[in-house]
Amino acid sequence: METVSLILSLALPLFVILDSFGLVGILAPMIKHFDHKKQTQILRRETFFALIIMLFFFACGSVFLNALGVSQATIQLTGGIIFLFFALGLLFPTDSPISTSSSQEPFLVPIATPLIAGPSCLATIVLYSHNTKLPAYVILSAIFTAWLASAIILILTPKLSKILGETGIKVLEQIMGLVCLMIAVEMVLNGIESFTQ
Amino acid sequence: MSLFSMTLTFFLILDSVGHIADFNDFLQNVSKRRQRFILFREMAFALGLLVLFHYFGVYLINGLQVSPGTIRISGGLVLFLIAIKMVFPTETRPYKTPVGEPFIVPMAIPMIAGPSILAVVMFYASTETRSYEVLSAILLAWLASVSLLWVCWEFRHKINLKVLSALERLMGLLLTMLAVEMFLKGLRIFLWKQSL
Repeated sequence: METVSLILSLALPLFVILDSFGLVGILAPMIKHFDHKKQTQILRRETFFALIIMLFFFACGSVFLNALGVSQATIQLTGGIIFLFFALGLLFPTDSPISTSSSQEPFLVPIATPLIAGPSCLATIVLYSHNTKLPAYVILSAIFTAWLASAIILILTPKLSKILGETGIKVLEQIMGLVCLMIAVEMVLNGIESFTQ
Repeated sequence: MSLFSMTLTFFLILDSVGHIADFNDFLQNVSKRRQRFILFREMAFALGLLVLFHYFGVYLINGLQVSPGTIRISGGLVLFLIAIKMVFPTETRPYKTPVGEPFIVPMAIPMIAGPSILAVVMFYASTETRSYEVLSAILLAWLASVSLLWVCWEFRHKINLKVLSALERLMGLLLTMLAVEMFLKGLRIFLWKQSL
């Protein structure tokens, strides 16, 4: 019983960080070009990729980052910048310096990472893995629980698209472009904050 | 910059397996044994150029008398743009299939030893105090690329291009991280006169 509550107490922050409810709104316009079946397929694949990335960071995140000589600030900044480019592409479809044409099927970037397995989520996982008091299976089950709960919500995205309709999705896209931009700037600012400290 | 991260950077930008589809087009009219010979020859030419630019870079960038912070910040920017291109690929195939056997152009230059890797080699050569580390990073990355190309050439028709492009994007993210790190290092040197 104690283990279960420990797992849940670790899984809850991760679930909040994964922010699946917020992501549903971002994802719906992103995959609007594909038919219903394809959308579900994309979401299944991307959530699975996100799990793999999360597990990879749990297993060898800190070792890997040390070998590269990469600091915490760099991870946050990189996630923010990648996301910034993506958000700019969403807001200004033609003027963006790097074309992120939405007709192209999203693959790994930007849904799996940095949207689902973003820098804050990965940093939390690396933080968990540093904690020597916690046994590995507890952390692993916490990661898995949080992932499963988020994945179920995310895979329901196509249903939301149906309810909103085409106009609704278009409105959502414009709003979400702004929201994405702000999330990206937030990530960059966090990175700058940990850089200056 | 550790030897590992330098080697990784060079290896990722060399991207030998990413070029495999194009190489296959170029070498279609060549006999099977000759194909491997040409691959090795072109890679060797590329290595020669990289080593040459390594020495050239030290003289050029040190001759400019710019501060160490400047070198790192501009190197980080160059690396960043290369990495972003890997993460958000644009569909361009600027190289025409040569008539007959390819010789140096376009395989060795600019596909393997393109302007991007030459710029990065020059930046690293001038920022690292121990020159042999950059040289060994070049050599290690080249060896890894050649052996990977050697193995993958056998399976070139079976390689799933989609998986390859996903891997390339992931590698692009790594490269972006290294670029940001280099940029931040330059900024640190500039802002706080931190020691090298």
